[in-house]
Amino acid sequence: MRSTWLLNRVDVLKLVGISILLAVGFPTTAQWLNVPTKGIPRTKDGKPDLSAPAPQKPDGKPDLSGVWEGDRQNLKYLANLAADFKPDDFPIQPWAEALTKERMTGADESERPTANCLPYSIPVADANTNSPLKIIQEPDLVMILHEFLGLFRQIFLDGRTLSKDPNPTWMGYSVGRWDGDTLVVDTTGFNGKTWLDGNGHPATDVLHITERFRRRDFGHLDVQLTIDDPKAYTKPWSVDLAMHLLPDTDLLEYVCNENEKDVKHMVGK
Amino acid sequence: MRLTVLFVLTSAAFAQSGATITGKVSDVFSEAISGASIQVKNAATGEEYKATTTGAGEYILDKLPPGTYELSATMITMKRYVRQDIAVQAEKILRLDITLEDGGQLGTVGDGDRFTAALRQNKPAPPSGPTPRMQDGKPDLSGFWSPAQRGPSGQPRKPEALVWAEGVAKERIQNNRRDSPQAQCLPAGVTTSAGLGGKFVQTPTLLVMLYDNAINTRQVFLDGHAHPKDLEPTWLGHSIGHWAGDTLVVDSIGFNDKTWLDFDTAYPHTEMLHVVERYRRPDLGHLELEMTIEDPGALQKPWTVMRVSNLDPKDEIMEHICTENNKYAEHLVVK
Repeated sequence: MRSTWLLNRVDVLKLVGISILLAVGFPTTAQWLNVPTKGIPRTKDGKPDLSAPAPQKPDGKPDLSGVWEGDRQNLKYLANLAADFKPDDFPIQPWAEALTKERMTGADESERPTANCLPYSIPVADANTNSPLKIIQEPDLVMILHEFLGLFRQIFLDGRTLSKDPNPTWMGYSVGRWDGDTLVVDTTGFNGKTWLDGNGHPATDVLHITERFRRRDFGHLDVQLTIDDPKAYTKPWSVDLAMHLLPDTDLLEYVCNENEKDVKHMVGK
Repeated sequence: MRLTVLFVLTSAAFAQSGATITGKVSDVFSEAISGASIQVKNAATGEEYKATTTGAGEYILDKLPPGTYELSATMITMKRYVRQDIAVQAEKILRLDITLEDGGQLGTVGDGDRFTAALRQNKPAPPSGPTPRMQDGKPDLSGFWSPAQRGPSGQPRKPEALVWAEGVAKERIQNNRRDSPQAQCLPAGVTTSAGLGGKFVQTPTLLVMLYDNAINTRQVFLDGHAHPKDLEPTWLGHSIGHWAGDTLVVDSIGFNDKTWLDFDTAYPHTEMLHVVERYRRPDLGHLELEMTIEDPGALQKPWTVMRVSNLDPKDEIMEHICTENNKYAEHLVVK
């Protein structure tokens, strides 16, 4: 099933291979994957019209609500969030570069959070091609429910500001505001344990992630991520991710601790 | 420890004129319990005096006016201890060592009456006002709901179960509830979690329940679609809701048989479990739940549970990653 796959392999080829296997083998068998979503514009043959205009809320704001999954083109960022940078141009602190290289050897594989049923990072969540998320947009609150681990994020749009002394968490504390048609989400309050991507680019407790969500049309959501973490990176850097709507489906239940088999297969050097 | 007691005796005897009650609080394994709350109440005046146990489990209540007291000791996850008619005299020291029994509860929200009662003790009264409503006039159940109290007394505290289910429940309790899903960071289940606090966010087509518990989210679909056929069993099942007047009726099926009906009674269920939750928000500050639990595979007849939650507008759901640093299960001892 699509929900049982963990992003815990460094090997991109394997990663692509698994995702193709899943795409071919399973979507029609899973249980409530065939619930027609109301309010989706449809073409004459009844198929969802994913290029129709983005829906709007009564207040005129774009409505980002829906079940979303990362485009195939995100795969390279899932493995390496800095894939677009030349190695010499990537603003990474030496210790963070050394740690990433060590993680890429596979030596730290048993410490990968997702291999231990611990949360993935926001970049991995937003890029993910195999584990969808569901956005529920209300005027003062945008909720993101993640299939993976049943995680959720709350993005407060009620005008509150980020705390100066936030509780350290895996998914952080998020506030949002509208910049025209773009929802700008600022998140701090991280615990410094997360791996930003498959390669294991680290982040620290001063990590500040800015996500700019723009629903290009009914079926497509663009997300620009900016990573600002002066302890690990010498300056902020950005990556552009793309998601597509999964119509007529919903999140599945994902219980990682049940029958967990990954960690014991992870071999450290 | 003996030294500590001697010190208490001397200092009390010379420095104070009132009565003193002192002692050590421990569990059934004689391990000291620190941070337990000790409270005495003077039977004549109603005056209350409080103390907290030290790291060594010791407490001292001194300068007490002579008289007769009721003493209670409370600690989260432990059963409350109460002793009445304790007479103390001026300048005398009464030593009272206390053994607290395990309440059989996990240290997570929603794991039993005493724990939720302890959480509630310091909560202010919920705000008052009319029931908030959605644009279509239906009640809006959104809000942060603090852990519930049982509803009206007299309702059955446990189900009338089939013989095999009675046996399983008994064995689980004898095993100190060690095998509960929560102890392994698995979902507590709908019947355990319902009405035990969490954040509700309601839209016209969806009610989301967020819990700071293993498996953090539950969706109740309000868009009118029926349960899918041939549901694969899951921990939380499949939930749909419809409005009957101002009552939201949530119907859930499609459960696996791995959750417990609730933590205290430890009853099992089968995949035939069918849960109907009826939610009412009679005013701004209260959420009432009447839950009927039906399972012909485990119960002789349906079991109805009533709970009431208070709105807590100042609280917010926290990130709860159970898998991180889960130390509970390894400390549970099988009797």
